[in-house]
Amino acid sequence: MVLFWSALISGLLLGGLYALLASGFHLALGVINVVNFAYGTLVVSGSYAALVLNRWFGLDPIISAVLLTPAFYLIGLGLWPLLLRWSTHMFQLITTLAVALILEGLLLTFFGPDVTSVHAPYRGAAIHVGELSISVPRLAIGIAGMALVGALGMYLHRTYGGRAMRAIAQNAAGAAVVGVPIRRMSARIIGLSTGVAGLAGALTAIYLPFSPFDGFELLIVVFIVTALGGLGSLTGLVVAAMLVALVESFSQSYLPGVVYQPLVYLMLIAVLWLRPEGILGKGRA
Amino acid sequence: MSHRELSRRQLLRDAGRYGLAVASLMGVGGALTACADSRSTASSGDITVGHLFSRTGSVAAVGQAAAGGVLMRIDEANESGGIKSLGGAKINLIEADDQSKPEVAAGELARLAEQGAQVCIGSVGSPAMLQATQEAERQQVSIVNSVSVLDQINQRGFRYTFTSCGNSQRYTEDFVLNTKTVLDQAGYRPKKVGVLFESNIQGPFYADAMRKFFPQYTKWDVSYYDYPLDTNDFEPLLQRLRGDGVDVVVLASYAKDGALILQSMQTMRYDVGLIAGCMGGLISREFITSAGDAAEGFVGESYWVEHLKLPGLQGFLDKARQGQSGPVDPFTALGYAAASVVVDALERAGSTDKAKIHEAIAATDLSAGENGFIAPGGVKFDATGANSAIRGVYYQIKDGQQQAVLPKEFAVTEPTVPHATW
Repeated sequence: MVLFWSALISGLLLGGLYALLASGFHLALGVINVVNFAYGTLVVSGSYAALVLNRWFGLDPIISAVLLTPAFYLIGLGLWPLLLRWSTHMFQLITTLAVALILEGLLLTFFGPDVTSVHAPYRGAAIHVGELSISVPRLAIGIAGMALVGALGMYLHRTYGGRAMRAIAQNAAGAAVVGVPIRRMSARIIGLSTGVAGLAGALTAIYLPFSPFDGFELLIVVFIVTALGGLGSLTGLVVAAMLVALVESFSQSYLPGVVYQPLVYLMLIAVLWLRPEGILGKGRA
Repeated sequence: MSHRELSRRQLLRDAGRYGLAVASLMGVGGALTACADSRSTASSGDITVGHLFSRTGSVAAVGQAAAGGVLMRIDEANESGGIKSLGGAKINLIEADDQSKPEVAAGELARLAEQGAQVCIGSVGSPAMLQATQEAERQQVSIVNSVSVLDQINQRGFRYTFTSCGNSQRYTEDFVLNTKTVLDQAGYRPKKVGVLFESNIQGPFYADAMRKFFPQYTKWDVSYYDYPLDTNDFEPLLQRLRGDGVDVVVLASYAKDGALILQSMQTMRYDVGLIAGCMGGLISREFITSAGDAAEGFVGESYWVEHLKLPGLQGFLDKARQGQSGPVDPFTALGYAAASVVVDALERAGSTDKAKIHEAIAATDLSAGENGFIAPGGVKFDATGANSAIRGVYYQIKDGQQQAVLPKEFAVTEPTVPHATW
């Protein structure tokens, strides 16, 4: 029974992490249809930024996460007019891929290829209940992931800005007719998405070792979660993140390791076959 | 904008406008990556040595560390008067990046040969080395493999392939024997050994070798647990090991997985008698630095560690420690050792003829510490090109440093077994 509870708790915590990671990517894709191939590398850049702030200024990664979110938001605002605003969908793919390669090259130049970690003093802190242990940083990251998705949902549904973003997603021309500033809102979406990447990078650095080459691996997880959950539904995103993470943790607990990856991809194929719009997808946010 | 209709005319117009910009950006990215290691400057000279290594990609940490050692040894040879049997000829080092991709390795090796490399050194992952050595055979250029331990590299009847480090079968056999020795010495009898290995790339090779050697040398109850590469959470798997009563954990992992496993064991307070490791990534500096204090007490097998008794080591250490903090990477030492084989062979060949250089490499016979070969046991190639003289070192991480504990003649400290409680 310990094994079952351990798998369940680990799966839920990991699901929170995956939801946190995927929410920024989901936002850009769901609202303005930008497939941001640089997203994973932006997350890794957030981890390295937290590492620098920790090593040079002694800042805790949680404080760094708070500082990096607006900083990355501003970077995202800059990315929009510089690289994405004028390009068509196809060239956005290439442009974001180029940004990913440049960022990876920069990280390699400044930090080298070694895997590294941010050694926060509470990294190993855990709550122990019998043979079960719950990592405090992972619990905090999982809760942060859920809170962030909740906040994004509130923003999209309860504020003028959020409603404007959803209007763009549903019908950009119609939104423009009723006075929604499409370019400004699109820049804001990329800013938000990039801000989330910075936040996620700083927080995951507490728990996961990282290297400059991790961006594309993260992108695969984010892509799977987004495709499973479907566009336009943050609840779908959370469900998908939990599903992927629970499959990962339960397969580790009860099945040979080689089973996990085929299982996830089979699940993806099955969902896309039965519900091409994703588990709770509505098409766009 | 994303929601515009994409017409054919627009596609062509945008292709012209953005294609150039994107190509420039990607060029900048590539250039940045190429500049990532400032040590990779080539010197002009009379003998051309090619170095194929992973400057970028998943094995870049190993490739770049080895490249530092290769460059250090070539610079030393040039600064001390070049190759004397060739009238003081200087060595010109040219480099190529396999991007940690086997499919790129052969092409890059061919490029080095086209650029006039008379002999090559390879510091790439085993799958890439399999491809590179095939091309070296085709080009009839000798290649000295510095870090790849896969047995198959030297088991295909190739004449031009030489491996200056050891191979995985002997490495794993030594690991099993040394693990048994340290546990026996401490009077610790494992209830159950759990071998935790990544299942995508090299882990299965080591797991298979352990399936052969554990029953051969021990009567321990050993179970095997695989996991996919890029696993982000090891706690369920470790809980399974704990539930199965595993009290000695053996890893066949890459640096990132290994670090995460140790950190998870620390968080779970999963106390065991020994945590041991048997795979390349676990001997690297990045494993120690990323695992942090969770790596304390970890034991493993390597062909070189920073703290071991070996003649001629101090000069290398003094140079390797210049301008860097943290431990010296074992792969830097193995790169240095491979370059020492090439320098020694060039001196004995007294010729730039590829065939004569090949003969000289095949006849290499250096003891440990002789002429820059700083790995235990020395180097002597058998008929397959494998190094039959090299010996493994069993080490334990103490105070963040790999310290040799076995064999006795190389040891600098006694092993601390059982592993301390978390």
